[in-house]
Amino acid sequence: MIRVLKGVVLLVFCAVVIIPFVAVISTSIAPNKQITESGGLVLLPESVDFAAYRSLFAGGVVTQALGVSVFVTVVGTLLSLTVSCLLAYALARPSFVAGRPILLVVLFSMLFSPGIIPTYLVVKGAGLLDSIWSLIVPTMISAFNVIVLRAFFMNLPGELTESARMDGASELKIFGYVVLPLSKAVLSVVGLFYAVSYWNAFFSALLYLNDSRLWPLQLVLRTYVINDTQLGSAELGTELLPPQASIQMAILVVSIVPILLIYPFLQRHFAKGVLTGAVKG
Amino acid sequence: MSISRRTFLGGGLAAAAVAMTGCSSGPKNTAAANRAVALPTYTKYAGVTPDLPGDGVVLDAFLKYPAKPIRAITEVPGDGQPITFLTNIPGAIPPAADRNQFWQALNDRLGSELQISMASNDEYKDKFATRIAGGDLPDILNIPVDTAQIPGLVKAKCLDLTEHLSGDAIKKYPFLASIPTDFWKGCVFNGAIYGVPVPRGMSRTSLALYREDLLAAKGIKNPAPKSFQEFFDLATELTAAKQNKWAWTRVPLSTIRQMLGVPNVWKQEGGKFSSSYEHEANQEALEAARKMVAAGVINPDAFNDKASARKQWFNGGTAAFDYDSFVAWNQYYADNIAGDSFAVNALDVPGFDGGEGSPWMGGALNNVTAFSKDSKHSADTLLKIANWMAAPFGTEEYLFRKYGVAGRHYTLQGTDPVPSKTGVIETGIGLQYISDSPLALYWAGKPDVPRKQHAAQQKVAKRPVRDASYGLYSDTQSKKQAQLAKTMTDLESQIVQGKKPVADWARGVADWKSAGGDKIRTELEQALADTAGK
Repeated sequence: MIRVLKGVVLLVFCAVVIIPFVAVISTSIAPNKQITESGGLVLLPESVDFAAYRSLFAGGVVTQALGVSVFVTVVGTLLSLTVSCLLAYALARPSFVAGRPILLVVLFSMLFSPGIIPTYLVVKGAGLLDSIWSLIVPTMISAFNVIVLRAFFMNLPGELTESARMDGASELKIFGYVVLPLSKAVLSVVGLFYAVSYWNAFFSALLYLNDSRLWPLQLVLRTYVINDTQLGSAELGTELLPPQASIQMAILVVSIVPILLIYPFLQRHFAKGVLTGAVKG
Repeated sequence: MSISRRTFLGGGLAAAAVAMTGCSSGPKNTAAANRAVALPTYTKYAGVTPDLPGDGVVLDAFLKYPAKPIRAITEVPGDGQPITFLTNIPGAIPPAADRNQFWQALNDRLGSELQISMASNDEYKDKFATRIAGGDLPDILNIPVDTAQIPGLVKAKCLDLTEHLSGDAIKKYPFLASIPTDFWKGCVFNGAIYGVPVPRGMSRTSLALYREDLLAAKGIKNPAPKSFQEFFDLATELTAAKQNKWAWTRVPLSTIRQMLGVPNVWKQEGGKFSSSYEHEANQEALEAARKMVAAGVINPDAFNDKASARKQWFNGGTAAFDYDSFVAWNQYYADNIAGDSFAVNALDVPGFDGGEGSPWMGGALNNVTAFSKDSKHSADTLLKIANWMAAPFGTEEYLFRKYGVAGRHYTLQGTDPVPSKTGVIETGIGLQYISDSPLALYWAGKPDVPRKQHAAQQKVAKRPVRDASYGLYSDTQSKKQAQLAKTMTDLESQIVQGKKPVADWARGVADWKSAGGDKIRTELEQALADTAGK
């Protein structure tokens, strides 16, 4: 009896998680008439209609934005991981001169973030306005991630690096051949954190990029979601795009699928990596 | 270095500080100084004859697009140099200029490359404030009317256009001169004309729209309730909750208030201002709205969903009534899935206990368009661009500006341009916010639509209630209005849902007064007194 009850409870939980996904996907491919008549969400489409996806990808705007997002996410994550690891490793070395003041600067940036206008002025002063690098450089180092990495590096046995040093390895070699291979778990977790934040970022693009060709996917997709109605067209009495519900659901699918695809590959490292950084330090 | 919305607050204040730096000298933004400005002379463009003429309040209506649109501007308005423009866009992001044939054709016609920096409606204010505070102004700037401290902003950053536009000087720009004088009031600050209006007014007037076809199917032709009771009975008749059908998409509280003669935002009598919130009929209006909610004639999801859901219910036949504008009326036809039988019409506003109600006039302006002081272009060039953007319905410029290039962006059915999907996507670059002609009532292939709209406008135009604060500046209103209005709307919503008693309204109004309402009133009264030269 208890087993049946457990099964039922689990089934309910599964349904609670799965049904919204089904509704999202179904609505994105349901015909207009059904969506309108059902009042917004569809669980079982009467027929399959990819008009919302065609609409999204028409004109090449979304495709181009997808390219920008992939570039920013991949290049940004690699750069962020590189500089964060280098900084965290240096800060983790007890012999590092000025380690403490630098650590304080890092911590300070975590506790007190600058306002939008000062940041904007810095980006402008650095000549990054209207450049794709404005999406990467200002957010390249996350203090939180550096702390997690530092905590992990500090817990690596000192004997390992010491023996490498005795074998004549330079600091960079020790870092590359000894430390990094032992840090796969934390690297994958921190990499995922960086990747997700680059993938989801839209506000810096809104401020720094006037050329809409450089807009990342999230910002482009937001214009579909935020602009609730197609007023501009309505004032003219022109034909409009498919109903917002199907477009919005298609947007959800387009924006979450890529990042969902990465998760399974990193999952086995995830719990270990997070715990290591979180508990010890 | 992540940026949250919250940190933006600091930025907004900085923006205001930058904007206010120019306030120390020159004419102050007093109503007296503003009144001294001779507003542009209204000269209606006579090159196109509407099928059903308007009168400056009622809009011109056209039953079909003129067969031979007039090319009204022969001179190329641009100066050959790129012109930058910062704006919001109402739709999805259009393809950039290099992939957008409409944009390319536009640049050819303007004689200058138009570089547009866009943001969605919701995010525009963030972008606007940051760019201004960062000293990064475009040549042409779309300033939303609810921007805080516009007088300080335009004085510090924008060109004074008075000598180019005041009185008869505007005749050099005939399509700007064709915008009725009243709309220019909203562009006067610090005793000078600082911008070009993007006029709305009647097109933004909202009424109770209804699905004529659904009502006809129930045997109801020409519904014209004469009192709230009849209005309520009509709603009850059209509700069949078991079949997922409700009369209304949302609580028609605004309509009920108009039935009871509640003012449109602010009322002025003998120099004294009173807010719509303070009107004694609010209690009765809220009671009536509660009665409608309790009777189940409103879609039960009305309090949770966004405007797009509301529009879907109306189009899908889940609801037969919606409170919305003439712009939305057109949109319903665009979204229509019911086929040829689909028909929309609007109810007039009856008095609560009989007689006539007091319909509210829509907000006069969408935005003010100003030009940067630092622009390398002459004011004349930028005004010529604005003039080009204001060419009215029926001209060849309008046809291109709104519909694009024949063949690619629209096809002609008879003389009516019917846009293609490419047309809708490529033309949505926000040109209507540089400047615009007063909207024309028109729907391609359906002359009945403008006819009904024109008739509805004529009915309400006889007794429109305007917001008495239009053209008068209140500093407190510019800073606090959004927050104050939200608090009152939330309270209203709680009361009509029955979650709070109607008696709470009086307390809400008292809070509103002390939180800024009284200060706004004092400032408006002072502004009016200045205008009257007291």
